[in-house]
Amino acid sequence: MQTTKNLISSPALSESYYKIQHKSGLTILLHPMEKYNSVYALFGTKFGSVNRTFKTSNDEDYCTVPDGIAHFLEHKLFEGETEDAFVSYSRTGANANAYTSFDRTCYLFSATEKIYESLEILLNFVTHPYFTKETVEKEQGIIGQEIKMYDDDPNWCVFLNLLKALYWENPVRIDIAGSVESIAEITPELLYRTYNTFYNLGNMVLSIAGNFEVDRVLDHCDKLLPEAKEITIENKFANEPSDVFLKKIEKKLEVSMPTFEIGFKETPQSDTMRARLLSEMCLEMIFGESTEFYQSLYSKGIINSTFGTEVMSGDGYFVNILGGEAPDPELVYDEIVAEIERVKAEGLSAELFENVKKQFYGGRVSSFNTVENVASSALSAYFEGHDAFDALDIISSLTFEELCTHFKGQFNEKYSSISVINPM
Amino acid sequence: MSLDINRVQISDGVNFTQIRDEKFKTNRISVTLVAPLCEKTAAAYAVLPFILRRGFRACPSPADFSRLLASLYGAACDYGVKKAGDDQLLTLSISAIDDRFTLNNEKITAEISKILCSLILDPVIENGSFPKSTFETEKQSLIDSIKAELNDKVSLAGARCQQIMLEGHPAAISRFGSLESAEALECEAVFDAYNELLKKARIEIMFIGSGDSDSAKEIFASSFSASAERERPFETGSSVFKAFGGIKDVTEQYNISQGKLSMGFSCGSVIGDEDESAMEVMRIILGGAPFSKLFLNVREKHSLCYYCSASYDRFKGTILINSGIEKENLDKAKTEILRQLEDIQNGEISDDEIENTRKLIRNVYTGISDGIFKTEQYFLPRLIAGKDTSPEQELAALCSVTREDIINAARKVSLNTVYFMSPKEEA
Repeated sequence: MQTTKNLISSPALSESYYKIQHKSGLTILLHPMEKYNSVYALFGTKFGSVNRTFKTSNDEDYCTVPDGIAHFLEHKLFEGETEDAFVSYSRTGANANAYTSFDRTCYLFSATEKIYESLEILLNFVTHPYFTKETVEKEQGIIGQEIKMYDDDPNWCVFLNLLKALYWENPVRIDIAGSVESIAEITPELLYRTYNTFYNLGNMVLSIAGNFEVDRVLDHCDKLLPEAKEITIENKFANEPSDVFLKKIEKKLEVSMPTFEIGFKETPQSDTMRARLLSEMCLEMIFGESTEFYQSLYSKGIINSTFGTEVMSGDGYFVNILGGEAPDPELVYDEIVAEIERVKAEGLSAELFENVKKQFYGGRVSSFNTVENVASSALSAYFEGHDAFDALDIISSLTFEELCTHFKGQFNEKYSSISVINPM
Repeated sequence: MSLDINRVQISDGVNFTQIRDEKFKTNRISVTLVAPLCEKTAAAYAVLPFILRRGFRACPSPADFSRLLASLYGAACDYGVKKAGDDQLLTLSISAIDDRFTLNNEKITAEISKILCSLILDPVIENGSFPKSTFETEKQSLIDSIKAELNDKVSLAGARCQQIMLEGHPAAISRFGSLESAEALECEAVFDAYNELLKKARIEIMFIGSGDSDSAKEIFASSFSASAERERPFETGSSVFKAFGGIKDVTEQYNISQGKLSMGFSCGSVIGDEDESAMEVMRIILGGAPFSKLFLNVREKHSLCYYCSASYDRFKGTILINSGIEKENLDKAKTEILRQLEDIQNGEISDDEIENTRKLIRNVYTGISDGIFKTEQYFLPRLIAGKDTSPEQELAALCSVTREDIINAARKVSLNTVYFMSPKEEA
């Protein structure tokens, strides 16, 4: 296999980056920003907490792994056979980290000097797993404390509970870190099988933005990355009904006021990026601060300044979310449902649409301000089957008609749930 | 690629700092009013950014104001209430894309400058005060914000430790003021506080971005010099925390699943002191990186926690160590944490630790100019303390810190307060 290189450009932003199909099988996104001092590099795999039952084309049977294994693997990969990756990074001065979400695991560093040394560390430790019984046991204590930290976080609990209420089967309803019990079942053997499935370079992407030389990065990739075996990953997802599991879910924590999230469970979309932008625009046009709806509820004290909206989407899940703190979350729910009914009957405002389009355009332009954002959005866009500048093009070309059609197909009260964290 | 920084006084007690860098696609302008933290005024001052951000005389409706911002390509108006030692910082800011990226050549940088001036100097006034309804709504926002501090237990544990340690100092007062004083706020008194603040607060305006900062400066200069006459400014600045008496040991019970330990230390070094850099290097070796002693021992060796790190308050001269642990590991965690500090005090620092810390610091400091927020976060507290040292200058000072300096800095660090937020038995 040969390495191929494409330049992706945005004249509007005067920005461009290389999208490279490396001979190892890895996809590489390189966005040089020579006026910056730093470099931000992300090495990610399309593997998160939702990938719990899988096989490769070479395996006979599907394997179901304990909850939280993607996140556990992220922690353990840092511990190499000869030394911990953090120790290696300490010699370059890079600031290194990693994160695991529902659908991906990413290893990253930011640095202004010794960037190629740091890149070598990143490429090396992610491609050299080392798991033993002892190191696995040690990590169970640390991650146990991480899970408990999140148990005390009302914002995390209200969000996870919402997903538990909306979904019957989809693994987004399971905590990314798993539970103290589930991670106790993790063994080195399971970690290796998982690793060998999802950390195949063909399933991964390297995204770098900042002050670096493209050719030098590619030299390091040539040197360190062997050609990956071609495999096909087969994920098994249970069928998810379109209705919700629970209309309401509640939990008590020591909080000052009820915290809530209301979710509308939508049909997963093939073009996630486009659908997400459309939903975000709908939310802004119906519930944003520019609306009489928001201002009226705000001035009556039904919602407060914590009120906000977001869209959560990925393979097999798509949720429109509204949340915040409120004295009476049920009342907010009723108001939101009534407002949706009103807008469904009367239609969205064409005047607001032009304004919101400008607002979203500005938001995308702003996101190209930092090396961190540039590398992250290139990686996210890639995992969604897009290029980094596509969001800007989609926003510019969206029509009011398309938005109205999208809105009609979403926000059905029947497929909504509310999650509430009540004070003790 | 160092910073192009220019700072001038545009009116009595009002400074305008421009940091221009054409690589950015946006501009951020922030106006920070500095006042002494005081139990009597803290809540009245704190509610002002909440009220002022909702609109101005020429655009009194919050919905219209929000639409105006959206039409300026989603310009974002933010407000903040913070603490810097014994001072209270009240900030209003607007960020927006630069004129170069507008679709119809709109001049939005000048526009956001004018809007920000109007928000602060030309608010909506009814019957000689803020509109009653806006006042009541935002008073409630302040009360909600104070109460909501309960929700984030990790920060709450750190804040409680500081409060206990700094008892009697203005810095022990919450940035929002107390709940009682927020509940007792009255519209007229808050309006008076607003007028007093405009006359007496030091005002730091920062423009960071790629745009036309000179025109912005003119707009601010003419607005601020035409506004209310300035009076003798507040006495601001912080006193150094000096520990006396024994160690304070406080445990509070909460309905939580994980205990939060916060240990407060006096260190006596503050911003501008000769050993400020040594203290910062010491802090990183102790608990500011994945190779620091707290991380490697309390977390990695003993598996006691997920997080355990140290922070340094350069205004008060204190160090705080925070960690989340099991209740039954409390004594073990305390002992291990203190052992790490003692090791540094006894000179047990390897050459690698010093060299790695320097490398980390170089990476952090040369990266500051790559972000608008990072740049503001670096400069604002320093400007408030009367220092305008660049990241390069500070980096040079940090890199010249010797082993001896680090040991001496560590020996000034003395335990003052142990705060433990404990899970209730039944929880």
